[in-house]
Amino acid sequence: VLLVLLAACWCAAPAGRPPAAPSNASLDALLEQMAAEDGQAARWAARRLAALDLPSRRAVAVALLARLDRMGAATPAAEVGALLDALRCLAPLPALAEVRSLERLLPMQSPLYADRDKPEAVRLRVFVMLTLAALGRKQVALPASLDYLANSHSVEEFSAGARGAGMLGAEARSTTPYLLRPFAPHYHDWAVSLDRFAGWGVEEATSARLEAARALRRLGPVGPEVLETLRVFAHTLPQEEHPETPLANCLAREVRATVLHLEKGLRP
Amino acid sequence: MTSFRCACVALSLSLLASCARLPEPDPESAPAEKCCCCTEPDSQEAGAGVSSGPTPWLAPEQRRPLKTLSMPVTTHAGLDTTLRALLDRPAALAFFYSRCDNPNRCTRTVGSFRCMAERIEKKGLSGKVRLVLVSFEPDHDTPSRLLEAAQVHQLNTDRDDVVLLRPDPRLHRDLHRELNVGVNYSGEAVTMHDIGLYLFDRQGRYVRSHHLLAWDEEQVVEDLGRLAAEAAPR
Repeated sequence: VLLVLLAACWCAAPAGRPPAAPSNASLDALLEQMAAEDGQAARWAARRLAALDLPSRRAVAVALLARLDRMGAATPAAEVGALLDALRCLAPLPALAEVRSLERLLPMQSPLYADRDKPEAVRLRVFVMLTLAALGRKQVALPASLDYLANSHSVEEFSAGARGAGMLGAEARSTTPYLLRPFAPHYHDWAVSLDRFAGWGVEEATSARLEAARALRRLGPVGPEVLETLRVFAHTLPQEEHPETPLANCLAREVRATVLHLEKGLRP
Repeated sequence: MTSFRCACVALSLSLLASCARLPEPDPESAPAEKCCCCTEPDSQEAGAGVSSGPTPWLAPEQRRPLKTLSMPVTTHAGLDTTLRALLDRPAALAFFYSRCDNPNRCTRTVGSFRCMAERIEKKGLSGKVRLVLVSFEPDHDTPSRLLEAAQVHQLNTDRDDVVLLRPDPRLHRDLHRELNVGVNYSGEAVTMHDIGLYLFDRQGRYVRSHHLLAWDEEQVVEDLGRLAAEAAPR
């Protein structure tokens, strides 16, 4: 109810005047929904945010970034994660000076990651990078995306690097050689989620290969050796889909679509 | 959380079950035994457009000595000394820790130092420059563990131009801050770290650094040779 009221208030702002900053109570309600393990509630909140008009999205983003500025090592990861999830729902946004409070969280030495368990710290930074990429901070997000693709050892980090590269588009074309890593025979792929920081469901699952295939399609023309690697990999995929392996079905579809797309030399 | 775990397990199993190949040993998870002397074929082009190459070369008059030169360190041989004493020659310095499980970071870094040590010998720079590996985890990396790590990666520590260091656990983060090293901890255990190589002249003054992507060993050794050829301070 609070969210509906929040949206109604923003939408009812007089023409020509920027919407009022959202109240703390409405932001609390929003972030609670975003942090819910219940995917339905979180997705509903995400849709409400995405449906706001640009001035309202901007007002919410500024309020969220101000909150982010106050977060640190003692802030529960779920709280930071929900806020990052909400920010990504607001993209695209015009350039905001306030986004610096997000940028300062990207360096590994940021106090935000101090004294957290390794998986939690790693996942938080992954979502910081993805949020920066979603908000169009290409020059800031690209080095981190490249680092994940070239130097990471976990499927989660690689997948995030690939998703980030895909979001950055042609400007991330230099990451292409690294996007082929998961198509090597020895690569152990796994199901991960990058849609929401908190719990996730079947429909949100992704993998390193899936994200790499999607990114390659978005980065634009590639050399013949890239196409050949994908073709060889595509031959190893099952021809028929099975209802019990949704992610594998999705991977097969995506890889074949990417091969087809690159063969035709289509630009994204 | 239960649904999350169930979904994770089910999808992971389905993903693995769909693979047409038999699982093979993961070369990435094994210590890098292959020679890493050569830069990966595609890495010259890869990363283009990102500031992944070396930073600009600082001329002698632009250089400043490290503030942390007086930091006590212990070598892999158990010798207690200071960073200043080991940066008395042109040096390439990088960070690592012995229990890093990422072959693309610390294993690659130590392998790269092995390669550079060989190149230094071939170029006749032995005794004129130094390769310094500093542990990120001084509480864990005792001299014996450092020596063991060197042996695992076939890094020859019999020569005095290759040294692995355990920095003072109370002060080592000052060095990270001064060099702007990307690293974070849970307690004293590393949770994440970047890769980087820092070049110093014979007065312990920072000259340039490499970040993000694996550096070109040939270029680093050439840089060390260039620094060794610089006139000694009066």
